[in-house]
Amino acid sequence: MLMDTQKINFKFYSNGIKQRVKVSSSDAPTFMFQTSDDRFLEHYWNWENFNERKDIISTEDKNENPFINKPVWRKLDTDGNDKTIIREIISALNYNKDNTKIPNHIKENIEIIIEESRHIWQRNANELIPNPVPLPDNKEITNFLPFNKITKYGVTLKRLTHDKIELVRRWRNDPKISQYMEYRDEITPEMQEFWFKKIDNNKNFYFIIEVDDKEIGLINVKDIDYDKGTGEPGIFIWDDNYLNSTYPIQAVCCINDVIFNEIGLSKVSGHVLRDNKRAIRFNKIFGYHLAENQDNRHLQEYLLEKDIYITNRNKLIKYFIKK
Amino acid sequence: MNELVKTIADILEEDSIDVTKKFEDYENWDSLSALSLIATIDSNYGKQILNKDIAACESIEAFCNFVLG
Repeated sequence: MLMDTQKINFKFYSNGIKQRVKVSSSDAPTFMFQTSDDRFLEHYWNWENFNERKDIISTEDKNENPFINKPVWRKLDTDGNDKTIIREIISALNYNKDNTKIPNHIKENIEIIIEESRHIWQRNANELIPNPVPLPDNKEITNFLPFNKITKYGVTLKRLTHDKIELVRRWRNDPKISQYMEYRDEITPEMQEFWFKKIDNNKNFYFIIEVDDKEIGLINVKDIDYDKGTGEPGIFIWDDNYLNSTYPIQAVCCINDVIFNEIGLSKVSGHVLRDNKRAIRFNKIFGYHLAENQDNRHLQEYLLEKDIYITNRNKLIKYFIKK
Repeated sequence: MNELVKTIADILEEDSIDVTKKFEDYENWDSLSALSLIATIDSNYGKQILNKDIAACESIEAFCNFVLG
């Protein structure tokens, strides 16, 4: 526990790519804050939001951090001096709009090292903004990881935020959607709130699917097991105008690219009701195959490995890209 | 036209189709058949069509005319 922020040294290294922020001192645990682009600053600009995050990995998880580059997280002591330290950091970043100079009074007190990441973030290096636009006051901070918005193959996936859960609840309760779900009873607003709290973390990624700025459905990967490299994707299209188009395929390719290439999973599994022939047929074009001992099950498990997906995806995507 | 109609019937897994109907009137019309249609038109007719092109056609006949026109 840091008792005196004056004892903390401050350094700021930048290789031109904002990647990771490391804060350390001689008499305190090391703090590391994940970053990749300016959204990092958004995530942690506001202390109160930072404080509320439930999915910060503790130091005990140091060697099991799900991300390849293994940034280390610790749950901050919100009542103690951690809060002061983070406020100092945030303050420093706030003053430092161009990320090249830090005010001296901060510089003397805190050490920050920005390190290069080799995997997840490096891919986005070209997209990073060298001179970040100052964030507006009270900017809403909603997400933990930088997968807030992904546009690929003609669709946009936007990370599910709290303000959209009522919309999703309405979709999900519609019989045209619920009939294909294992749980088919009415979902109440309270249940939806509980559900969102449970999935708003780095083991579950839920996205609203947008086509031409229209919200058409939901796609996700849930129950990610970073040790095993597995997760379970799912999708539903609420807007009938898009149901029988290729957009659902495009959305799946989009999220699967994130799953396999960015999150780094090697295999995903999906559960489909045995009678849902359309879903089974749909899944098979990506290379899903029935897992072992599933023939007699009502809810059957299908598996998809990365290599098989990539092969199938490459055959599909040429039709999504306008010549 | 007949050849294209037969191709569409095959995609829809129907022996024959009523070209005055819409694609969505057929049970097997889904994302995969849309993809299959796009791929087939691309390879057989050298024309790239998009989802919106299909959606804009009020009947299968109108779609055929769009492709062949």
